[in-house]
This record gives sequence, C-alpha cells and structure tokens, in this order.
Amino acid sequence: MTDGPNSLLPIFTFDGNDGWDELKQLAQPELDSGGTARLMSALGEKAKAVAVERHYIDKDYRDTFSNFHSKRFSTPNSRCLRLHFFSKAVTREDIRHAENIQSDYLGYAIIRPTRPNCLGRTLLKPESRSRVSGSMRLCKETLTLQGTELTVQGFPFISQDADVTVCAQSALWMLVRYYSNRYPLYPETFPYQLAKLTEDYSLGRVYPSSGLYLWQMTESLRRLGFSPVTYTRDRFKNDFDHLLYTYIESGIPVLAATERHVVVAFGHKSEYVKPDPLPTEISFSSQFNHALVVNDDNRIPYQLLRKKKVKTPDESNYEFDDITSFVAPLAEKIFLSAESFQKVVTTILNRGDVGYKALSATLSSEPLVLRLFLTTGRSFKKRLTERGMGNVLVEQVYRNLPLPHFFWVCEISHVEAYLQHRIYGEILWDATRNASEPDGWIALHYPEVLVVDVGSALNESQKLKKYSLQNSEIYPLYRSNLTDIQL
Amino acid sequence: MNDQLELIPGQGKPPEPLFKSEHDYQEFRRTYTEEIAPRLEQLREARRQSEEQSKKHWMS
Repeated sequence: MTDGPNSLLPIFTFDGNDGWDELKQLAQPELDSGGTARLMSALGEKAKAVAVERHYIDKDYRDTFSNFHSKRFSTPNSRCLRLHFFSKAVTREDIRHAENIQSDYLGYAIIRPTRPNCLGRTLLKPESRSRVSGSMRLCKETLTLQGTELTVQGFPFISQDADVTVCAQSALWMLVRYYSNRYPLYPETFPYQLAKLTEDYSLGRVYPSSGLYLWQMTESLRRLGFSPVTYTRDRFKNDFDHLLYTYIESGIPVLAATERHVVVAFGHKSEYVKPDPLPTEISFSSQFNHALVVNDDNRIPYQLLRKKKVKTPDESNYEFDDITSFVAPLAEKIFLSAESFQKVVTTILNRGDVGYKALSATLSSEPLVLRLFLTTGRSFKKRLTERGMGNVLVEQVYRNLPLPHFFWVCEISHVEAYLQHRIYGEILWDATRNASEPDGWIALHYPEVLVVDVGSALNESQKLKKYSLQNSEIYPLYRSNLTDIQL
Repeated sequence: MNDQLELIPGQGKPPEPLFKSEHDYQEFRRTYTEEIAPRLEQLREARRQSEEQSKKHWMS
C-alpha cells in the first residue's frame, strides 16, 4: 500500500510477501534488483514502512558525481533517493512530529543511480537487523525528514560504486565517516577525496580505481590525522585475534583485511561460558569472543564474522583465519600499542615484588582472567560512582587523581567472577609512555593494596605510593567503549 | 606546593612508599627494563615486518 505514489515522499507500507518488489517499483529507476535483495536481507524482518524521499541530494554521491560520473558521455542522474525505514506503519501526519516516529525509526539508505551497486551511504540501527547482537562501537547522526528532526545510532555503511570506489575506499569511507560523525577532531571526508588522498603514493591513475595496497590505506589514515598500526597474522600468530579483539574492546574500529578484500570490524560477540578445560595460568577475555561484527561493502550492514563460519546467508563469508592483516587507526596520543601494553602488564603481574602473587592472596588463589582495553580519563571517572571500584578509598583516589587523556586498563578477575562481569582490580597504564621503562604506571589495584604513582600524576618524577585496603569487594567491569545490542 | 597536595582531602593516614629504600626502587626499575626490553624488541620487529608485508597486500 502506498500513500502518494506520485508525490515527492511516497510512504510505502508492507502488507504482504511481495512488498519488496512493490518498493522496488516505487523506487525506480534508482533501486535495482541487487539493491532490493540486500535491503530485504537486512531489513526484511523489521521494516514495516518506508518513506521514499525523492530528489535527495546526497553529499557523498554528489562528490563522486561532480568529480567522476559527470565527466561521462552519458551521465547518470545527479540526485538520489533516500529510503527511511520504520518498524511500524507511519502516516504523513506522523512524520510531522518526531515524537510519533523516532522510536520506530530504523535508519536510512541512500539509493544512488550507480551500477552494479546502488546502495549508497546507509546508517541503520543495529536493532534493525533482527538476527545480530553483540557489543559494538557506534556513532550518532541527526537528520531531517521534511523538517522533522530524527536521530539514528549505528555504524556507517556504503557499497562500492566500482568506479571511484572499490572495497578499499569503501572500507576507508565507513571507518572515517564513523570517526567524523563521532569526533569533531576528524574531518568529514568524501569518497573522491579518499581516492585522491593516495595520488602522491600511487603508481598510475587513482581513478577509476582497481584497488589499493593495505599500506596505501594506512597512509590515507595517517594523512587524515590518525596514527595507524598494522598487524599481520603470520607475524603475530597466536596473539593476532586477541590483539584485534583488544582494539575493538577499546572502541577502536579496525580495517580487517583478507587475502583480497577488506571489511571494517567494529564489534564483537562473546559468549561468557566456563572454558573447558579451565586455564591454569593467566588468560585473556578474548577467549570468550567467537565473532566479530563487521560492515562488508559487498554485503549488508552488521554481519557476524565468526571464528568458524556457519553457512547462514546473512552472515559473513569469512572466518577469523581468513583475516590476514588488520590496521588499527589509533589517535595521535596513543603511543603505547596493545601488544606492548600486554607485555607490560604480564611483566608487572608476574614480578616477585609487585606481582599479584607477592601482594594479593585473593588473586593468587585462582588463575587470572585479564581484559585489556584503552579508555579516556573522562569516561573512566564518569563511571566510578556506579561501579564503586570495590573499595571507597580506591574510588576516592581515582576521582582525585589527574589522569592522561588516553590510558590502558588491564582488568583483573577470576573465571567465575568474570563470567558474572565482575572484577577484583585493575592496572592503569599511561598510553603516552614508552613501555621499556616503568614510568607509565598510573595505578595498580589488587583487593589488598592500591599503588599509585603520585609523582607522574603531578607532572613530577615517579613516586610510587601504597595504600592498604580493607574489606574490598568485587565490582562491575568497565562498560563504556561499546554498546551492547541484544536480540 | 605539590608536596602539600592530598589525593584524598582530609585523609588522616598518608600513603606509604611502595619500596622501602631508594636502592629497592632502582633495582625494580633496572630489572623491569632488563626483563621487558628484549620482548618489546621482538614485538617492534613483528610490527615492522607487518608493515613491510602490507606493501604487497593488494585489495580490489
């Protein structure tokens, strides 16, 4: 059923199984069969209505149109369609008032007049995918639909146009659009600009593009203000999946490259069940992770990429072992990388003077589970009260302690407590310090003791001071970097 | 001025130094550095080789 099929904003309501074919007819000539199939795969179970915004001028398509498509003998339309999806039937009157439709707004997809891929800039709520859950890094956008302001939180998606952009530029676009949406520090960058970013370090023309080397993508990120770091599976071997997970747990989406393709990984899906056999030494929370949440420009948003793939149609074609490299776009002031921090904390924890066996009978009673992640002083302090930190003295010290903008956290727990998402303590380490000296020490918190570097906190040389703790309790692990999406 | 700053305002008992002597502290720093330096060097080399490999990793 369509309200106003010849209007500038037809509103389509799904009322049967052939609804997507009707939507395709309504969205001609932009929406092709491939695009319809992808939208149906992504939204088939949740979308109940679609507002088709005709003559939409899309900033990303207009960028490639002006710089590439307009130079063709036969030029495509310069305008697009924008499809707005809702989880309930909506009327034209509903659309006049945000409060009537905001909670049922699933997001939007731009439909470009490009072939073979018409799916342009897309931002859907992860909840729009009925079969995807996990912990994800997301960003917000505010948009207007005929003047009504709506908000959508998700991870940006775009498909390649196979001319200016192929998978490499599309993955870069998704990553950097997430950053520019979330942080004003990073510039909004359009597809043609991304293609042009590589012109000083390319052999031959940069468009039409046939692809990019991974190092060119890394260099593009550097030129956009990031400090990217690269990891390959065959160099990092057993730590590779753990390090990738650690960056995602830190809220840093990564470019995950297979042999010839690249996707953006921005979430994980962990199952907190007791490991069998139980670890006998220190282990990491990455052991519970069994899937990444990725955006693959050839598919649909929010796909699960599992440790071992199961042939579910709307899941990724890849599995963990197919990822051969990844690039983590660190912020400028994150000097200490994940693998170096891991060495720091395992060295500290195993020492005879400050290690857990020396200072904590509680921790020594069972093997440790560690969770490593980056965070900011601001976010960490915001959650002190609700978490309690196991001891009022610890909370008070952390509240007053000057903290760097970015620091690494190693949460310390035992298996049983970790499965309940509770911890016994943590090590905080300055991400702006060199790992080779112990000057990055911010705090070491075991149930029996808190050791703080009050010197560095006051911009002086290191002064490690010890507080004895009484009656400490376990407390909730830190949650801020990722948003939990439940089925 | 910094010597008079309190991490917890009004706290009665100030924290104690972690190490009993300057010698113990310097020993901690020396052994930490000695222990971690070779491991960090291996990791730096792994990252350097990863970057080298990325020059040949083509994505289309």
